[in-house]
Amino acid sequence: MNSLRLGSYTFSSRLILGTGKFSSVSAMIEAVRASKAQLVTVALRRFNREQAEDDLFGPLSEIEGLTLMPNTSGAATAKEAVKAAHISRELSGSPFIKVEIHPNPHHLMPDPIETYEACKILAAEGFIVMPYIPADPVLAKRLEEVGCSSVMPLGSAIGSGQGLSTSAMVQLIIRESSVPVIVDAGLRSPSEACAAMEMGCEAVLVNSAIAVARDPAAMAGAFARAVEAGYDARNAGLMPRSGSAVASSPLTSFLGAGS
Amino acid sequence: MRAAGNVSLCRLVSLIIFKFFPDFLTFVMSTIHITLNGEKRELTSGLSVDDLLKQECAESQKVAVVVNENIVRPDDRASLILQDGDQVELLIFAGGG
Repeated sequence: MNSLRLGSYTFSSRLILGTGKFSSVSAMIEAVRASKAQLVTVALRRFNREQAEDDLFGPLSEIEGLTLMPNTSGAATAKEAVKAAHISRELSGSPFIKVEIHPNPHHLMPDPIETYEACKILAAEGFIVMPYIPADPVLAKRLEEVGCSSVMPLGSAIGSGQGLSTSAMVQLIIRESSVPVIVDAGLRSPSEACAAMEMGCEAVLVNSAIAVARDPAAMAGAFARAVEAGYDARNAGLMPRSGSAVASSPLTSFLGAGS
Repeated sequence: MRAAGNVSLCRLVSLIIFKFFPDFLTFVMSTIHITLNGEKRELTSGLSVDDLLKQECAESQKVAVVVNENIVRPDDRASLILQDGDQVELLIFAGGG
């Protein structure tokens, strides 16, 4: 498998993991290990001395070869996202930032205007900017043009498990994009992740589908294999579709010959 | 009349000292009030950010410190003394997608 290039970083794994919603820190760590993910998202939260175990930095830094990608969740404006990015870079030492600006808690759809404004600023400041966006081909191209290292169109609403409902738009984005296209949000099953990769995505980001599965570590492994399968299949050259049948066995006329 | 004049003079001098040297007021007060992670807190005056972290059992934690919208790097935390009215945020990384 060729490496995934994001900014100056290369990764052999094309499955990016979200660390939210796990039942425990140990369940999350087990899933990250099972997924072989090399890039995981984290969120900023206020330190609470009563819940010091919520801090993931220590446990995650024990996994070799793992890079953190902080997100800007909680930000409702570009200004707040930029502030979160600065704090995150200070805390993580990582140049990655997932720009995630979704002010409406009902649908959690990303705000394209605030996202664009934040990405423009952060890309100029040298961040490896990974914007979470609606599956809009024009927005994706504008973000590439202001220096984003990838675009991350949603498959469906965060945590909804509604799958790759945006596949037609994602294909349009892939067609026009010179940066990696990474489907993020809403995937429910490994087959959907596989389909995204077969379509031409360079990676997928999965959180709920793994965290909320009955056996997160096993599901993480399944997703990892599905992502590899989809990527390999695409590179192997999928057969063409046909409107009618194309026989795969010879039409043995002798079977129907008069006896 | 003379006593009243002395009281006025005393008041004037106090006003000048406290207005132009607010640190003096803090020094005299010995406690300050800050906002920590959105909650009002009373602290002994003269504490540094490092002292606050120790008080909050966060000194060995990987934590980001923001005071009045400014990020305070680890190297600066021993020397930055908290002032009355400071808004302090202590932030860590938690799970997120």
